[in-house]
Amino acid sequence: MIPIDNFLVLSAILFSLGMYGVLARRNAVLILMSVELMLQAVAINFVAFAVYLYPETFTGVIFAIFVIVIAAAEVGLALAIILRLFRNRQITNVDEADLLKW
Amino acid sequence: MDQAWLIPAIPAAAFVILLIFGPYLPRKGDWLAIAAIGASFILVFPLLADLLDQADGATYVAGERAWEWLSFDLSGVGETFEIEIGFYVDPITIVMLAVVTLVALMVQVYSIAYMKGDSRYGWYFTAMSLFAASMLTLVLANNLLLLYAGWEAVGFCSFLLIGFWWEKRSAAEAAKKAFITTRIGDVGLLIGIIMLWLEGPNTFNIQEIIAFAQEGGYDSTYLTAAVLFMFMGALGKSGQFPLHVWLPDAMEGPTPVSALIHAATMVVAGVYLVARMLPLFEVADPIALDVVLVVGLTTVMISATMGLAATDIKRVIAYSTLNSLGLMFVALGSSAVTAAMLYLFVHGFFKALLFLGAGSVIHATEEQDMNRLGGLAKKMPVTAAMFAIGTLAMIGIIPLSGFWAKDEVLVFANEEQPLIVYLVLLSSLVITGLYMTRLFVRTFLFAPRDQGVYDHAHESGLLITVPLLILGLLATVAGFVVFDEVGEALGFPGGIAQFVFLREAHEFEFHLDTAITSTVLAGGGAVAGWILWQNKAELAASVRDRFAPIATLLANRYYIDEVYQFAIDHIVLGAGTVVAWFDRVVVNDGGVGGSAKIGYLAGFEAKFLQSGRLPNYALAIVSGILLLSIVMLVALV
Amino acid sequence: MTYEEAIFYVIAAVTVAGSLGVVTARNVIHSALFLILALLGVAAVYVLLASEFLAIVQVLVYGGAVTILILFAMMLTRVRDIGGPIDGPQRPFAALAATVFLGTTVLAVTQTEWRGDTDEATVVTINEIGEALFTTWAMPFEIASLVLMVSLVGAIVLARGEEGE
Repeated sequence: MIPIDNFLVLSAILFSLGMYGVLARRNAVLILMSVELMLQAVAINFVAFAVYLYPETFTGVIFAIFVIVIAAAEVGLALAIILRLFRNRQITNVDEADLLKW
Repeated sequence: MDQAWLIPAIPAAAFVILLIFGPYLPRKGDWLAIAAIGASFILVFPLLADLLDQADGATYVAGERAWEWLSFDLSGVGETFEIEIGFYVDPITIVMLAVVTLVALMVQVYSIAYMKGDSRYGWYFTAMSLFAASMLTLVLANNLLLLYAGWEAVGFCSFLLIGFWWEKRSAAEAAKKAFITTRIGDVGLLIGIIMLWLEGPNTFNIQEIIAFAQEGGYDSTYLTAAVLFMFMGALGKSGQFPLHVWLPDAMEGPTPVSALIHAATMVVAGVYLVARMLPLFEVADPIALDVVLVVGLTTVMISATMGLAATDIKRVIAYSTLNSLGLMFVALGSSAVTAAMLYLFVHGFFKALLFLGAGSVIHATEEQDMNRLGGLAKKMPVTAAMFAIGTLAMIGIIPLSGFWAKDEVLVFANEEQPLIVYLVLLSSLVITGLYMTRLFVRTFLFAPRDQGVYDHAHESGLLITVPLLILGLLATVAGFVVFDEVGEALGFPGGIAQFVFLREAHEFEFHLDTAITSTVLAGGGAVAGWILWQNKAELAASVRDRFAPIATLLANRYYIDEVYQFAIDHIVLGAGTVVAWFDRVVVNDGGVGGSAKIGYLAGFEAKFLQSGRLPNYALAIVSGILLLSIVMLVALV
Repeated sequence: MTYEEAIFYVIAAVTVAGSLGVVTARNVIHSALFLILALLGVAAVYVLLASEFLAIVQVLVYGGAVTILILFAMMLTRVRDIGGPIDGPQRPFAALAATVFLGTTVLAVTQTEWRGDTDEATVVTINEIGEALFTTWAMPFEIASLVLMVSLVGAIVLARGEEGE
């Protein structure tokens, strides 16, 4: 069988890539997609821990379901905000939305 | 003795009441001030009776009462340190109290007429009450701190009253000058007090300090320095050379003020201080008393000669005050407390008389320049007669009070000091005779020099003449207290020498040789003055023209004021410029502004960290997480 | 290497490749398409983790709804018309941070001693999940549905715009 380490390392790679995307990208939609990658990494971790370490309670699986639910809600809201930002100021790049500085 | 505290407390209460309710009281409360000082005057007598009752043979057990004022726990020293409000009564105190309360009473009665119609009539009596309270506190204080408090308070009152007519620029300037000049001395006094306390028996009590010093508690050099610092205070307050410059200018105040503060009472506080502290001066190096003597002698000579050139009648009397104070310091410098206090006693009366007489003239003519007066004796006979008594007392003509006091000083100077001191004093008598006669002759006799002023003149009212008469009487007879018979008749054990003394009472001796010498010289000076300044004073003018440089030097007061002004302009202001530069550049721009700038720059530069850009914030969060994870990892591995 | 491991590596390679594409593609539409690939890869990972239910949900919610939503948003905001570089100026720092994070995490994973048998995944059946969701987790489940509803209403309100706009 596949050792748990493999899944955890895969999750770490996905998380790092997501982090890179969040930090490097300018476009709000792309950042959102990177955040989704990070969420996927977290979900993989949950499931891996659940099925390998705590199969009797499988809390991690339930958590993964909730993560998916919250991610869906988050995507819906975030895209609405991006849409609003674009309509009001014709921008989708987060570094241009800096009205709140100083 | 238990009621001694009432003597300063009553005028102090009057001051408070006048300050708050003065404007609402009938007659603006002048009656209250006079009643208060009158009560203080009356209270002196039970005090004196107490003191005489407790007399033990020839020594007077001084009464002392004290209440705790402040108490500190000196953790460093390990003992409690207490400051008291205490009163100490001994013959010196009694003499001072008598002079202060009596002259103050006379002056305040006189002021009702003199200050009538003044826009600050009520304030005048308020300030006078404060002065009386402060002066009496100073005199009665049993410890140096209370004495110093009273000392500063009288200086402050003097400032208020010299500048009473502050709308006049010269009055405001004179008030400032008096205050600053005396402050220079006061700093010395404070240093002296601190020095005495620092090495002393952890108390400010004067008698304990004296006892401590007499047991040799202080190092001799240290004690000498301390008493000389204290003497600086006396120097400033009593207008002795070189801090005498303020007293002539102080004549800008109302004339009754000059009579009370700048002749009879406040200026003799310096004499009182030295008399009170004389045991310390004696224990200290002999140089301390020599300094007192030399300062007194210098003041006598320069003031007498400056009096020759002054034309303002009040200034002439001010110079005569300096002259008298100098004589008192000469007496003190010879350890002759009796002579000094006797002179102080009679001087209070005849100098107040002179000032009040001058005030009467000024009140009647609104003129105080001798060159525009003259012949007033016909118009103002009472004032002229009383002024004549004052003049003769000042010159020292037998049997007026000034003669007895001055002769006592001369006797001591003759016995205790080198001949030169005696000779200088004798020569000063001639000059005193000259300028006092000049003052009287130019003001009251011969033809008036300004007909308008003369026509304006009239004899003053009863409120002015009655105090003059009382003071005139006192100025005539006060000197007789030297005689044992007079003293006994008054209830004292003998003459003043058996009442006020430093170590032991002594019999009054009449030194015929000194008396004759001094009378001849003083009378000669007076006669010479009469001859010089009679009629139109052609003789005096010719003398003045012959010695023109000296006359100019005297008229300009030896240029001492100019030297001081130069020093202030160049040294004080120069130092001030440096200090101001330091304050502006280092303290203000560097210290205050600099630290503010640090804060401003820190805030201003730091605000750019707030870019408002989401990625930057995200990076910051990630950096923090990374740092934490690395720390955890290091801890794990 | 077992055949299961071989399958895992293939799936992992596809997922990582998809993710790389998401964060590096120059074209935003390509990014979105890569995201679908990555998400499907993750669904396959769930299968390998013996969680078929999660795999199905993943495909339905992510592969379907979320991706479509993102593509819609891209079209509505005309992202391709916006000029300027697609990456921000802090890309080097981002790469550094991601590398350091990966390093520390992998180190942590390999250094940790996991409890129990770490080689065998236990199958969690749909029955068990359903039962747990509606018994033990009933309250969080309801709250999650509430959150979902609120966020969707909020999204509608935000996206609809002002009257007359």
